[in-house]
Amino acid sequence: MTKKRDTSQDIESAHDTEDLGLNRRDFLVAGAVAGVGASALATTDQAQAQSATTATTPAAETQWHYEVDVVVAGGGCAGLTAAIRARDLGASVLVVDQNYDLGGRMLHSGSFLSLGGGDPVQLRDMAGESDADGFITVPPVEDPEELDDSIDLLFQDVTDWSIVDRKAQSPYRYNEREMMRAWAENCPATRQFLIDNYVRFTRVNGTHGGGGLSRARAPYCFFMLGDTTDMRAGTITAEDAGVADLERTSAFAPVQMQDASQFVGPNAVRNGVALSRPLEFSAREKGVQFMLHRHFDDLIREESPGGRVLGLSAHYSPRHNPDTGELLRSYWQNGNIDERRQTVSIRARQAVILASGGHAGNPEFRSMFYPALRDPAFPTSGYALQGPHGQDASAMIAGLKVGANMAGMQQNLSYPTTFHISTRLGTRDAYTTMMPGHPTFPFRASAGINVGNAGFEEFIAVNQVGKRFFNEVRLPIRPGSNRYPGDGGAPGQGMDHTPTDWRNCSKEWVREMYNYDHGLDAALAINEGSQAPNYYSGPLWAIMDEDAVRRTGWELRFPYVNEENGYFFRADTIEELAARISAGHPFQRVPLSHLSETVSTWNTYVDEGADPEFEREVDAPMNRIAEPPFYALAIMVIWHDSYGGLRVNGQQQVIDMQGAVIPGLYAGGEAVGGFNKHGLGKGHVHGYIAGTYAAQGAN
Amino acid sequence: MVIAGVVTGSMSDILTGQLTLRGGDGTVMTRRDLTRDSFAQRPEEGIYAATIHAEAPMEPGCYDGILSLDRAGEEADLTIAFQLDVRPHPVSVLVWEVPDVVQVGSKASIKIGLKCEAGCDLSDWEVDVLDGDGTLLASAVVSDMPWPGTASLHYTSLSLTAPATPAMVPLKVQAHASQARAVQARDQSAGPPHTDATALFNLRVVPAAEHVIAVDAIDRRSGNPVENARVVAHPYRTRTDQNGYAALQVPTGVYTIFVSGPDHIPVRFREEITGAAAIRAELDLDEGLSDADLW
Repeated sequence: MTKKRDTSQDIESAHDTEDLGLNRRDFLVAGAVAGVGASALATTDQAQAQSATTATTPAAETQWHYEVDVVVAGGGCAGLTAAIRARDLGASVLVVDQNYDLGGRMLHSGSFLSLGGGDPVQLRDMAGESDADGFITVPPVEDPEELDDSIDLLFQDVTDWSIVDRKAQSPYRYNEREMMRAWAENCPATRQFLIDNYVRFTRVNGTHGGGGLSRARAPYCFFMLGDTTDMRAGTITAEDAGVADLERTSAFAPVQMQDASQFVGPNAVRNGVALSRPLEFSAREKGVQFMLHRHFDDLIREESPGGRVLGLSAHYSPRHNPDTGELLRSYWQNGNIDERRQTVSIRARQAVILASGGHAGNPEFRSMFYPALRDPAFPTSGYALQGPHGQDASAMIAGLKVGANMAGMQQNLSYPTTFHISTRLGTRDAYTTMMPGHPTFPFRASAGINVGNAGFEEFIAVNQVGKRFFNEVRLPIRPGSNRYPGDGGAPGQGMDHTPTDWRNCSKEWVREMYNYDHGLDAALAINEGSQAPNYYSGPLWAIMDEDAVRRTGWELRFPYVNEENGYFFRADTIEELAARISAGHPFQRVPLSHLSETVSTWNTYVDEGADPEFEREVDAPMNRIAEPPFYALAIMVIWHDSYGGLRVNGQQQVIDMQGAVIPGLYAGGEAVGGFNKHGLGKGHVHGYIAGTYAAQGAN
Repeated sequence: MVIAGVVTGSMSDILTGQLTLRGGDGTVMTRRDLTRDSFAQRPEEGIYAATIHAEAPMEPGCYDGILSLDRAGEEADLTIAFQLDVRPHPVSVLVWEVPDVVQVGSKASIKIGLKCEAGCDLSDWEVDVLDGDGTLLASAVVSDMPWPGTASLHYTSLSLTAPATPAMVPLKVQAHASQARAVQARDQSAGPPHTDATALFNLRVVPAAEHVIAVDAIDRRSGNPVENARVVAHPYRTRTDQNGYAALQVPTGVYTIFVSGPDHIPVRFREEITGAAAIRAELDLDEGLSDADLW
């Protein structure tokens, strides 16, 4: 039994619960404790005295600052879905998120959302119908037989032992089967749930990686361009969508929206903004509460054997504009709790749901999958948008402390966007582009130049000591992911694919289709600049001259690159370029002592028409690097997806090392392992299931 | 060239005093009175630092020096002895706009630029182009205008005549101060000394072209011509025009021909050219991973 809660703050001063359909009983914070006035705010000293309790701190000593039915750690894909679902079922819900705004990585995603099993959008397209608003005016992209799906077929696809991809990895055979069955069964309902919460889907066009090879299961999410940004109406202004000015993004949309006319009709735009903002709007409308700038730290659990998770602790993690020092504010504020105490403990009467993302942003944690990626030079995606605590493995770390089991620990090796070399150069946050106008742009200070795979012909790539390490043209190439209609590596593509057929992974076929050159691994290899104990291998640089810039037309100017942010340099000579990189890049730990020699040697190879080191002459023309000025653009290794995480059952309950449910604890999204499917479709269904059971108090 | 001497410590240890930089013979090079305001904080190291600057000697060599701190109220000075290796300013030599090929007996124009890594003005320096035997082929003086886009890379243009025999001709550029500067240097009135600098480059001399390879670069999906595609039959290069057409003039021989970019995946052909040849290159747009794979 816990002590009475701290009564140091009356949150009715922070928001009006009556407008949100809640009463005081639902959001119990203030109360009378002997000697403490109900209206007194906690002082810093008091907050420190009531500092974070951890899983090792007896729950009986915990002083709770807030109490709700369901607490959700993370306001992204899985978290927002879980919060809305639980709220729909009558629970009071509080979401904590380390960032200044909601959406997680969903907000900067492409919104390609693969579900299936006969979900409402598949059925709609099979019938040749438009959406409920009549926005869709183009015919279905897929034929009816390509959409004719079932839960059993979907489940078979996502547990198919026979699929081997072009990196010779098996994306489906290590998926957790109970969880996959529950996922498949809930795909149709989740699709309808999203539609009911203002999300609008384009025509289905293919399937997402990890979503199966048998049928088309994925549409995008879209808005219609209009005079107002209105989630209920499904419209967005050109300014908010970032399409009014190619060099501006808005606070509403961190990534400029793309043309969706091919899958909707004229004036439609698509990306994760059309998914995240409607969900957020609905959540706020329904009375979900949010505590932003608040990082989830630890779970608080009863001490008894098999004790229940009672709540969580979270610390204040404010993000400020680096130029002005102002606290960043979320786009909408209704439902926000402005809590600034250093640490708070939040009690969950029914459940805690962990949806705080994966581990791609935590070099120490992710190094268990690939030691070379302990290198802090290489970030996760969305670094600027989410900040340094994005994808920091907080859910896994907290789960492990309470004895949670893990799953899918080998699945990081498969998907082409886990750790990979980005073709966007000259910026740290290289997975996405972002232009000035978004509040977090100052954290990256450049959009980057996407040179594509073909662009790697135009320069040489060097490691941290200035040596070439691989055939540049092969360096960024990644095999496609396993998805309908192909190219997942299976011999039968599209409707010709045969599930669970041994010929999908016969050694003869694997030899024939294997298509991976290991350039990333060469980039991360130990080189003479690597030093014990970590043997860091970064950073990496694209070195080019003025002639390359002229023949490609690349715009090496702000906002694409920035000579002040340490990821782009210009110099009169190669020697000067090396010196500027050493002085200006935050992770250049050793001098580029070989760069001059490398460029001279390269020019000799160009003259001779042969590259004896890496056979570049086999794949593409070679170009001298001779005309000043010279340029260096950072080549980033990005870790985007996280696979491998907490083990859960079909109700998204976290399972411990003895195979038992940890009462009161759920998890979803990239915090969960054993599900080798890219992003959104996984997280939304997880959130839907977790929200359902958490609200019902299944424990 | 600047010598920087830095005194550091916790603020409570650093009082007012006098910081002196001396040569090995005790000659005072420079002196600075220190107050609390003289110190800047280095929070990452948890210390405070004050700096003193002096010009390095003009004559290259190894020097001894002494940095001392005389603190008010203290009897003993703090001193540190050091050695300084003074070197001439390094000079970089760059060679560009060297033609990919030069036909026998033809002229080739190249650019040569010089830069002092310490930022000195090298206009009026001379550059010589020498062959493998050391024979002077051409000479010029760099201009006082820097190459466009650079801060201080002074350059000149030179014309070379290709020999009568096809070959890969190794050449050397030698850069040095002009005679006038050399005289000034002896008088030690011309500023700090610089290294002599060299650069190597190759001139590929080829026989007269006999045949034409006509290339049409087409986008495979749209059927539209690809402008500015690179056409390379090593060592011969050109680019396609707005009609996607390029003509490459080559001698008889076997060539690996690439047609690539912009934004397109390279296509490769292997052809023996003994007469006029025509190549239709259907290029695939470089789409990389699709949205479906990325998102």
